[in-house]
This record gives sequence, structure tokens and C-alpha cells, in this order.
Amino acid sequence: MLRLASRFSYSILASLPLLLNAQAHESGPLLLLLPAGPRAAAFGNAWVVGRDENVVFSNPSLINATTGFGISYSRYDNEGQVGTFAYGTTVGRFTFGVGARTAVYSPSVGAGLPFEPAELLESSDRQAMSVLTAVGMNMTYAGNRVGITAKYAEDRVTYSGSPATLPRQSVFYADFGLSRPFLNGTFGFAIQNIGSGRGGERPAQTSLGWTRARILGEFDLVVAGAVTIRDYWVSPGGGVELGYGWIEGWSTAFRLGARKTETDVQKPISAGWTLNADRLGLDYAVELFEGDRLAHHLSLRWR
Amino acid sequence: MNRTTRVLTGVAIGATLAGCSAALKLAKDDSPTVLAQQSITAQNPADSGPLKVLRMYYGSGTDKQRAVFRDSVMFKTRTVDVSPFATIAGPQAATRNKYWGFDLKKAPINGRVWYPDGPGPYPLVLVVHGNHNPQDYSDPGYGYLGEVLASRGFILVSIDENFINGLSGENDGRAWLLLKHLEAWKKFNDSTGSPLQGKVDFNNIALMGHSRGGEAAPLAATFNKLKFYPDDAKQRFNFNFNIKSIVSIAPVDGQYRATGQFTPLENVNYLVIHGSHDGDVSTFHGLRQFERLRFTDGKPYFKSAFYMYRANHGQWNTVWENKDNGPRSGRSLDLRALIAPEEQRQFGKLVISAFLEATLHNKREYLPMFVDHRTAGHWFPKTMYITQFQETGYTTLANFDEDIDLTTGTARGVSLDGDSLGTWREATLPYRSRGDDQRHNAAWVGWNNRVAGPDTTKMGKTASYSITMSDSLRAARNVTGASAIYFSIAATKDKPGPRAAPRDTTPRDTTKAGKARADSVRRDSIKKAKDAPKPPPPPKTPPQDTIPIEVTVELVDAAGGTARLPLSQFGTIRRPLETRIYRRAGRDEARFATIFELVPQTFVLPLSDFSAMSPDFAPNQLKTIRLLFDKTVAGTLVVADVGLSPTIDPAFLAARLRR
Repeated sequence: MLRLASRFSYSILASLPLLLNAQAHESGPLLLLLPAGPRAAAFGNAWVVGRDENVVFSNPSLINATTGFGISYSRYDNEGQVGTFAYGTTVGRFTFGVGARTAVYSPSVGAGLPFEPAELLESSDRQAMSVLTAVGMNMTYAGNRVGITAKYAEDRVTYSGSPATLPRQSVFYADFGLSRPFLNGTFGFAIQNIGSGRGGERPAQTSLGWTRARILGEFDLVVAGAVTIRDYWVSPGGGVELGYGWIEGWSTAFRLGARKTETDVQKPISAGWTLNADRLGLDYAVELFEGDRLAHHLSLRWR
Repeated sequence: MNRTTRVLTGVAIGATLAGCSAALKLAKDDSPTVLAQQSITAQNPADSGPLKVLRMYYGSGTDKQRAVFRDSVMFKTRTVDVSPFATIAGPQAATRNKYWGFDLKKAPINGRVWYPDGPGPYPLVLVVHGNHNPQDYSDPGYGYLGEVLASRGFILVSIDENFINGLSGENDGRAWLLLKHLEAWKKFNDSTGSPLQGKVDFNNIALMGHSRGGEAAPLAATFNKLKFYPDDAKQRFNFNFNIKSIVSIAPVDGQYRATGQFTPLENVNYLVIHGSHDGDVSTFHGLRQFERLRFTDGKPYFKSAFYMYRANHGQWNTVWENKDNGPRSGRSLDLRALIAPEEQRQFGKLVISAFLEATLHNKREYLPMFVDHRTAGHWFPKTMYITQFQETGYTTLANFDEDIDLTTGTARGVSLDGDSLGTWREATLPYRSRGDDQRHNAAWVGWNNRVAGPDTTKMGKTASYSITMSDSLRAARNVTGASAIYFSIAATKDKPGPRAAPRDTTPRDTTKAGKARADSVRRDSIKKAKDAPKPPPPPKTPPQDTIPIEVTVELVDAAGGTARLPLSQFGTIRRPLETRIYRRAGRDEARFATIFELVPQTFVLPLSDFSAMSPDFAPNQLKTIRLLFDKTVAGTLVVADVGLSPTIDPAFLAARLRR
């Protein structure tokens, strides 16, 4: 399996110059395109090798082996708001995860489904809501961690001034994920959004990445990198985290990430910070957008 | 946010973060008093001796990682197959084999040696490290012992078992490797023309181990006498070395259990040392080894245990130091509580050197410091110690393991009795780690001489606990004026409540006038009680009693002659030594059942002291040993062992402290 994944990744990397598109195609419900929480955002959305409960949205094979949950809140330039809940637990050989996300925003008058992430920054008389739910599980098989997720996503305009223009789009998707130790770190691979799109968009995407944590004296260093390929659009991304703990159970970390974004409205750079106090974790991340606009992500995690 | 708000927010965050860390709390140090005297006049065994120290290495000569075992070996040794005793699972094997350049079927026999420059023969002492980061080589960490021991006429070999560090269930392999090193040494010693030919005294061998090595060393002494590996008879043993002494430094115990049992041990001298602030092996597991060791062949052995306050796990190895919990121990462990590493190693040199001098060089003048460490008060680093001691000839009167009858002792003919006690029960001695115990029972004896009521000075009959021997037992144990009584006792924090007032047994006046008088008295007393000011409520957490418990030992002979001496004459009955290992406030309380280890102190009481104090008392007619709780109003003692030694060592009698 690893050999297959390696070959696949080499072939993808070799063909990158041919595949590069400047912007992504239309690609299904909005919440599928957003980083799953502040950690993912700060790591350049390289969350195919993610390490928290929210990974149920990006790679089911890495759903945390530790019981815990996280709630996140994101605010896009005083306009769009996104809430996320995710929970993971282990029962016997299996690790399960559930997650739910919802977004409320005011897309621009001319925008149609599927919405792009930049619509979260818009302000208009229209009101829209997006929902994403995911149920996943993973287990170890032949030395690999493999997992699957079933997802339901929906975008709908809830107010447009006219009852005749309340479009709605809902779809079911499946994700497959694989991970295993590799080069003193973790290799992750996921095929996401397997299923039929509506209206011609092609949301299926493949991601592969690698992450490694190591000790640097008194500091903890984590690096993560990933490549996401969706319908001839290739998005490399990655991040670095420098952490420090001064007493058992308490630590803080700073993160910096970069990625090729969905649209030019999104800036490639993101940053984040975290404070862990025993079982409680507080995460923050900021994403930059065109016109000095920002998206703030905040989450509380309990393990 | 204005400036004041910012400052207040900063202070609040800082206080929150700082609040996680506990203040340093240590038990009050009594060493200025306890260690104030020195009665042993011999040379300090921690000091270097007269011999020049030479150093050498032996090993495979092909070591990939360590130049000394590749380029500097004086003797090349053959590899051995340790795989029947230690296994590596899965992908770990490939990584390790790549690093080391060999697998467990070709384990090297590598050692670094400190030896005296002289003709010999010298006793051979092998020391083996325990589990640690395999790539942070542990074997050089005992050089400080090598230097002092070699200068005093011992050959010290620190053996390399780094290549099996990081495994689990491999302590039998560690033990077997120790014996394979002894086989290698036999060849070094027997080979004609060898630089070490005839230099090794194979009648005097000691094995020493630290942590997992501390389980391996006594295990090797047990394997040494077996014909087969207990878990698989395909592995034949044929060692039979003359291992006389074992030193276990902060050992684990029971990680390897031959046929599911804790490893039996017999007929060796034994020393175990452990630190109260051990952040790795946080319970004094060596006490179980101490308890299991039996002397059955009549030869002179002794066993000794030292519990050192403020010592940790790693500072007895100069590589490990204060990293009991890994390279970032400072985040979890309160390193401020630790004694200085030099002092911890000074203690190690002192007791290990004295033990080896006493058992391998037969220098009995060092024995008294194991019987009562106060005899060497000036040599010990200034901290607190709890010690245990037993020797060949010691026989148990009561160790509370034999049955569930509180009134019977272990030896036939011993009866136990409690008078006016608030607590009298027997139970297993616990370790501070939850769910773990010393596999040894003890009696909990608590008293409160105060009588309940408003008068806090009113005392009842003095409480006592007695051990009585039958005449036939006394005769069988050959008790004489040269004998000694042994107590192993620990104080606890518990205090029974005041005892109930004795019932009024005065005959009642049943006449009419008498009843009226009684009613009047009752009414007055009720009124007085109502009018009296209410006493202040007792504090929620009463102040802790830190004054040592004082007990009188009363000996009674068959004719009724008695002699009394305070137990403090023979040692200190300390309150429990509170030990907080972790930095985080509340972490010790969360992890451990108690914040102290219940380590009984052995008191050795020569009967001659009692007969000297009271000529009416005839030691050879000893009938009853009684603990009289007449000095401390209330308290609880854990009595772990009471026994007799028919003849006490003259060296101890000569060196013992007198008041």
C-alpha cells in the first residue's frame, strides 16, 4: 500500500508543472473548502496529516486515538461565521470521530452555488447557511492506519428578498484515508469527496502529506507539508510549529503556514498560536485576505 | 484596553501560570542532631585507598558506535546470543540493528574496568546500569565508584548493556549477561600470559545493578545456582560462581518473574539504596528483595537497606544525573528538592565501599554503620536516612505474615497483646504507589492516652503493646546477655481519638432524697453547659505533629525483673518523611496514595544495655518485650518486624553510640 501511495505521489509531483491551474474550479459545498479549525488554518491547511479531532474532515485515518472534543468558532471579517464541533474516541481496535460544521454568511448578490470561500467576507441582504457533518472511523491494517468518513454537506440561501430565489445544494460524500509512520514522521494520504457533485462541479480531491515532530533542546518543532490535487488544480501547503512547555501539562506553540489558496482573494500566509493547559487547549489562527481583511479562528479543545 | 487593564491582565495570566507550580516542601531536616556523632574510627570508606588505579576496556573490538570498545580493548571477547532472554519486536529491530550493527544473537561482552595496580588477587565487582536512552550510553556513569573501589583493592567492571535498553521484559537477559561477563573474566584470569592472570579473587565476587540492573543483579545470583533457565529448560545454566554480595541501587522488582513468581534470593550479602525523590522508580521496591532474602546455610551474611531523603534515581550515575523523567525532567519533577549530585554520589561511595569492604575484604569495622548509621554520622551527607538491617542468626518473633490472629506471633510460642490501644490491626505494608505493596504484613498499633472530656490533661492508663515468649522458645533461641532485640518500626500520621471515660460504677442512691440530689446535680450541670462559652471550632486541617514519637521499651524477665530504656536511644522514630516529587501542585497527591513512603526503621537493642541499666533484669530469662506509649500522648506505629539475634556483632557493640 505504501509503495502504491509513494508511486502515486511521485507521479503527481512529476506532473505538477502540467497540472497547475491558477485557481480552483467550482468544487461543491463551501465548507469542504475551508480549513477545519485554527490548527489546520495555521498549518497552511496541510491537515491530511493533522493531529486533532477536526481531522475527521480531512483524513479519517488520523482521527485522534485519544478521547476528546473540540469546538471552534471562526469569524471572517465581521461577516461570515463558522462553528465547528468534532469528537474522537477509541473503542477496542477502532477509533471513531464525528464532526459538524455550520456557516452563516451573506454572499454577494451575484454569487451562485457553489459559493467560494471569499463569499464569507461579503456583506449583502442575502443570507446563507452551510452545513457539513462527518462520521468517520479508522483502524490499523497491515501496519497502516486506514479510515473512512461519510459526509453530508449542504449550502442553502435562506433569505434573498424573494422566495423564488432560495437555491439549495446538498450532497453525500465519502473520504478514504491512510497513514503510517514514515521517515521518522507520519505520512498521510486521503481521497476526499468521493461521490457525485451537483451542477457539474468536481469536488473530489487527493491529498498527501508528511509531518514530523522532534525535540529541539527545550523546544518542540513540528513541520507538516501536503499537496492537494483537485481537478487539475494543485495546492501545495505546509506549516511549522515551535512549541515550548515550561511545566508538565502546560505548553504554548506558535505556528506559521502557507499554501496556494482557492482564489486570489485569499492570501497564502496564515499564523497561529496555542496554549495547552492539561486537558484544555486553546487555539487561535488568523488568515489573511485581500484588502487587509482577516479571518480569525478560535477553538477550545478538551482531551 | 487601557494600561491598567493590560497590567492587571498580565498579572492574572502570570499568576495563573505560576499557580500551577507547587512551593518547595521538604520535611524538617534532623540531620544536625541525628548525624552529630561518629564512633567508627576506621578510615572513611568513601576516601580513596592507597592503590594506584588502572583502567582498561574489553569487548567485541568491532563496536560501530563506541570507539573504546572498538579501538581500545585489552581483551577481545566473543559475542553471545541473548535472544532467548530478550526480544525486540517488529520494526524496532531493524532500526536498532542498523544503529548497533548487530542483533541480539550477537550481543557483545563489553566492559570498562577500573582495577588496582598490584599483584592481587582482588575481589571482582560487576556493576550494570538500568534502562535509559540506548544512545546515551549509561556504562561510563559509574566511574566515580570505579576510582574509589579500585584504589581500595577491588576490580570494578561497568558492563555495557546499552544495546538492550528500551526493551521490555528483558531483565532476565540483563542478569544472564552479567553471568556471561563473569565467564569472560574467568578466562582473563586463567589465561597464561594474560595481564590479568591470577589477579581476580573468584572467591569474592559482588554484583551491583542500578534500576532494572538492580533487579538483574540479585536475579543473576539466583540464576548462578540454577541448572536451567526457569522459563525454558532448553537454556542450560552452568555458572556456579562464588557470588558473595549484591548491591541494588534504586532497583525495580518483579518486572521479571520466573515461573510467575518474585525471584527468590538466598545466602548473599545484600545492600539496597533508594532515594525518596526518585522520579523514575518512585517506590522503594528493593524492600521486597530485602524481605525475600533468606540466610539458610549458616554462613555470616547481612542485609542492609538505606532510604535516602532527597536523593533521586539518576544521580548515582553521572550520565543519568537528574533526568529521571527523560531529558525534560525539569518540567515535571521538582529538581529543587534534590540533594546535590556530588552528595548523593558521596553517599553511594560511602555505603557501597563500606559494604564491599565488610563483605569482600571482611573489614567488620564498617558493619556498625549498617546496624545504626548514626555510628558514622560525620561521613554521611547531611540529609535523613531510614535504614533496615538483618544478619545471619536473626530469628523472627513476629512479622505478622503467618496468620490472621492478632494475638499470635510468627514463631511458635510467641503471643502478642495490646493494652488500652486505640488501634490494633494487621495489614499489608503499602507502598505509596497506588495498588502496590511490600508483600509483607505489619501491625498497626495506635494509642491515645488522653481521656475524652473537657479536661484535656486527664490521662488514662498508659497504652502498651507486648510480645511474650514461651520459656521453651527462649531456650531454643539461646537468649543471653550478648543477644539483641530487633524492631522494625515506622511512625504514621494517624492518631486515634481520646479514649472513652471509664464508666461510673459507683452504686446509685435509690432513696427519694438521693434521687432529688441527683436530679439537682444533673440540672446544674446542664445549666452550666448551656451558660459556658462555646469552645472555638477545631481547625479544618490540624497542625501537623513534627516532633518524633517517643516510646519506652520495657523488658520483663521470667521472674518479673524489668528494665526500661527509651527507644530513641537506639534510633529515631521519625514522623513520615513527606516527599513531593513533582512540580505541579497536587500531582503527588493525585499519583500516590500517600505523600510518603512507609519505610520501617530497624532498631537494634542490645540486651546488655538493659541489664546494665537495671541489675534486677536477667537477659537470659527474657520473657516479655513491651512497647510502652508513655511519652507521646497519641500516635500510631507500624510494627513490621520483631526479632532476636543471639549474639550481636562485637564491632557494633564497640562502636555503638552511648548516651
